[in-house]
Amino acid sequence: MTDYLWDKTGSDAEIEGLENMLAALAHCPDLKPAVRRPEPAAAEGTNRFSIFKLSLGFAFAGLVIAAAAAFVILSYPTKRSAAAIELPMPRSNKIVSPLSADGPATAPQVERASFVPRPKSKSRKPRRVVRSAPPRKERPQVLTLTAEEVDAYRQLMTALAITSTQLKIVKDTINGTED
Amino acid sequence: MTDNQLTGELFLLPREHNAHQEDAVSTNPDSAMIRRAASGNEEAFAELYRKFAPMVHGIALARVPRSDADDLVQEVFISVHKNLNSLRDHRAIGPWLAQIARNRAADFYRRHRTAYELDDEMAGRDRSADRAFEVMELIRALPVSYSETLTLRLVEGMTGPEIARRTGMTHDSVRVNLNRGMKMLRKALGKETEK
Repeated sequence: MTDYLWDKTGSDAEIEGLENMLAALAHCPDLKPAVRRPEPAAAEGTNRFSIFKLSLGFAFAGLVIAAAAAFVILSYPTKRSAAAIELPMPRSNKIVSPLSADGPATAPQVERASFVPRPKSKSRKPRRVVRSAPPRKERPQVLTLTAEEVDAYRQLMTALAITSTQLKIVKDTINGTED
Repeated sequence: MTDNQLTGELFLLPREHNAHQEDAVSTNPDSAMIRRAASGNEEAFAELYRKFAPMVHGIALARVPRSDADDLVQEVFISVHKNLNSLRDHRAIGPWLAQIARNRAADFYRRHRTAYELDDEMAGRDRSADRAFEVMELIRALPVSYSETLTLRLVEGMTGPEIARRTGMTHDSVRVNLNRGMKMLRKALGKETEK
């Protein structure tokens, strides 16, 4: 073994040639390490800023939760504040047309049903039915229609009659064809 | 595994008590630099980089393509930057870095096995450097201990004693690796010429 291979003393043309050729692949000293440790002051500042941002986030989230809770509490009717809500609704689905001769042409009689919201109970007890009035006998209800509504009603009846007639024609045609 | 490979692996053993290396171990000028680098001193870390980057690059180049060796060097020094505080014996900085580089290169090879076999460095290389790449391929084909030592010597331009001091190998190991590696390289170059 030549000394040149070990400690570069003396000379060896072959090894020198290889060295010159392979030097192109050597590490480039211009390359710098891509790592950089943050300065202590900067790191402290960043840390403080992130804590501030975190606190701000928590505060905002708390505010949103509080607002949502307040909204739910205020919008829910409690026992004291909720008065009986009276809703006009017919006792039966029967509609007496003012055009029919059977129906009375008098003033409409709309029965009012009462609805009292129950207070929220924590335990699951059987629900009580609260009635504001004793049950009454079923009576035919009358709806009073305006002139426009009457007109619409007539048109609807006409359309239904036409449709019915056409369906009957189709049915007869089918039956006649089948026969 | 061939005899040569077996022999080569044996010479990767770190240096132990050796008469003519005692002086190198006892005096450790790197210790202060490492201590400063570990405490966050940028200049000390840059000095550490300047001193050991060629060795890390040589170890990487003996295992991975040239195009990836620089990235591997960066990976190694990022790892060093994070874990420098865990190095207890500052005298072992060289072997420690060398081992990190070897491990990273092995990981790289496992990750990019397919790409490596396709030899992507053939794609964009300079015409004038063709011969250098071919010779580097031949060096890389040698047993890893020979190729590593030869790369440090022929590519990075380090002397035998310097390689021993940086990597932690014994002088004898480096001498044998250089001698046998050069012999095998000459043989490979001769075969290539015959073709």
